[in-house]
Amino acid sequence: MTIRIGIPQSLFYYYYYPLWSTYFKETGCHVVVSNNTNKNIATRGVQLTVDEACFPVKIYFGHTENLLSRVDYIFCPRIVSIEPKEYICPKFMGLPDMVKAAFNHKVKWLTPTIALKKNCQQEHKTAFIAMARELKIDSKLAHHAWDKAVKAQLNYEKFLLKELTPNDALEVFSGSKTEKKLSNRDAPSIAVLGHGYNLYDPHLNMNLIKKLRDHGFNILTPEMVDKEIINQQSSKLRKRIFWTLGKKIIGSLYDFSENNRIQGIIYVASFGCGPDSLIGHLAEGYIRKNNIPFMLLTLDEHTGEAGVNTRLEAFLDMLRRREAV
Amino acid sequence: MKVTFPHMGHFHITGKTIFEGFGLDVVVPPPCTKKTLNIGTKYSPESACLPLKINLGNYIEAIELGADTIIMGGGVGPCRFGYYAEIQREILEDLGYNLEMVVLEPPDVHLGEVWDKVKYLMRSTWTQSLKSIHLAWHKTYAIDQLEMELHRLRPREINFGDADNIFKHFLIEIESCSTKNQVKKTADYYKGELSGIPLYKGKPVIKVAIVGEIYTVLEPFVNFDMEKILGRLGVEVYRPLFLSQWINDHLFGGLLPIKGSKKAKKLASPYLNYFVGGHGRETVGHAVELKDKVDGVIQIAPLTCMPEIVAQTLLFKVSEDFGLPIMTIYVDEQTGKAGLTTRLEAFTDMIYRNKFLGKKEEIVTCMGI
Repeated sequence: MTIRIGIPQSLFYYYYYPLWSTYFKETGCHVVVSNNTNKNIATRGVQLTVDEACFPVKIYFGHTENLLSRVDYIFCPRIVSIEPKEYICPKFMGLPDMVKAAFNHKVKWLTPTIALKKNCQQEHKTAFIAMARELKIDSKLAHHAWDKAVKAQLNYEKFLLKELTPNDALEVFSGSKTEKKLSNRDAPSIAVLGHGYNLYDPHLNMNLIKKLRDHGFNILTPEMVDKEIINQQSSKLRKRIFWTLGKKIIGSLYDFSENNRIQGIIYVASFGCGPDSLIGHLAEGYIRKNNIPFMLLTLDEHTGEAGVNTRLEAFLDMLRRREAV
Repeated sequence: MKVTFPHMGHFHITGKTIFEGFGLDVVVPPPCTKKTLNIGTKYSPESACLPLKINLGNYIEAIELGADTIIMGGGVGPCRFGYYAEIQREILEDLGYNLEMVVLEPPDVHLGEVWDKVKYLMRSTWTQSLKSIHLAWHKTYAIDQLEMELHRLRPREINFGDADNIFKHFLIEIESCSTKNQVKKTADYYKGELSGIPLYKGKPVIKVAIVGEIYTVLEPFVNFDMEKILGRLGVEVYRPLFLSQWINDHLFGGLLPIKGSKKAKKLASPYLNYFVGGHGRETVGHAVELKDKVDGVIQIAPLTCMPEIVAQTLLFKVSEDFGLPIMTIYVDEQTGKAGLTTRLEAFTDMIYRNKFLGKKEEIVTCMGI
């Protein structure tokens, strides 16, 4: 019988889904992705976690529960660092432990530790090959699957650099849409900054990206900037940022602003997010000095959409008026 | 060059001794008060954690007293503390203060970075500097020893406050000690004083461990002097975190034979199997380590502290597995003490009832009714 592997559609799903799913599919497993985030998943997530956890982590718990009865294994990697000397966030480092403690279900867990220190590609591979051993998958097959997975991932990242959002790129990846020009380069651009799992989960951010597009704006996000540019731009800071996603935000902000690529900036933060509290401050200071319209949107389990709409409309009106004057 | 540094419990005694030995003028910031908090809160990012805000308040109050250089700790992640100094520097610059910030942190590229900073700060001879570090260590150790005694005495003393008064005098005196012998003599004298305090004989007390993020555990201003409140409620506080232990673990590499946090880190598994920055793993480990020694555990952390949120999640499981009452208290700029006192009273009442169920007399003597 094929092994069914569950991947929660949350957190690093938006960064690594092509890699993960290709790897599992190529090793002969059946991949099950949790449903799109909905009210039910979010509510269950909130109930399953401590109050102080941030909303994306809460939602992750909801997604995990969504998978429990449908799969043999749940894939919940311990993502410590994906670039040398950097981290994601302490909560990611304790995530498998937290998730395991929350469920008494008989499901099995796949929790490889992704701690890339020097030779990132190689270490990443080692972690996945070791996981295959756990699943009793032939090592040759695993190596082969890894190569394919990496190819899929690189392909996916190429789409992102073409200014597709991960959601668009994933649709292209899954074959439900063909690669047409989804971004609208001629329209005025707004940078939407923040951690990917906040930006691309439409339920979590109340459909922010779609709303902005419907208003006729082009969207730029940190994922659309090349890694080299990010490293180079963020190295202008006096102290190196040790959160990979925070570095991405600052690096892309500098790039957008220096090349005059944007009309305004919306920073999407989770309530209670540690990195956001400081990176947001750094970003805001820089933005004010450069006189760019800026809005900070802090998200939590609050569900009043009208408030967000009003703020958004006011912000966009202000942008348009600035253009007209 | 007039240097200052942020407060953390009794750290100012240690810091002052070391930096004076380095030949620097030291301005100790005024003790943390509501004013400190207000200044810090006003200028800090809204959702930053509490230590950053209080630190900033300390700096500004010290600058008003003439300080022009700030010595601060740093880090390389993943906890936010590693980026504190940079954010604080930015805020102070924006406010128009012209000062220098020396950040002591693990080297990012090569060891020379730390070396350069130490050399820069050192204005006296090597022997003098090393001597001051040695002296500071003895002071810190003596303070921690007496504080442990204080924890034992508080719930048992007949006139509440006796022990605290003696400890207060001890702190003033030890600050001015200039040799190791003097430190020892002072400590011995005050130990004698403490042992002379009239105590209730055979009074049953309950024991509660305080674990969590080190700054909020050690700084009485931010945790509303919780240890004293608990003492008054007849609780013997057991605190695994001490400054001397932290210094030994982190600066001396655990060379000195005092109890460190190594065991706690090991015991955190299977609950928490990876380090999560800050004191997250220690928090879980300490709770497991002390499960038979104490009747309950209180975790203190700043609101939104990432490592402690992970720890809190897992403490639920620890509590369930061992039947150990655990309560988490997050602190922020909210200053209402009554709410905290009520929670502590309810927590201790529950423990009393569990422990002395059916033994009415003991409950009565214990709670001082």
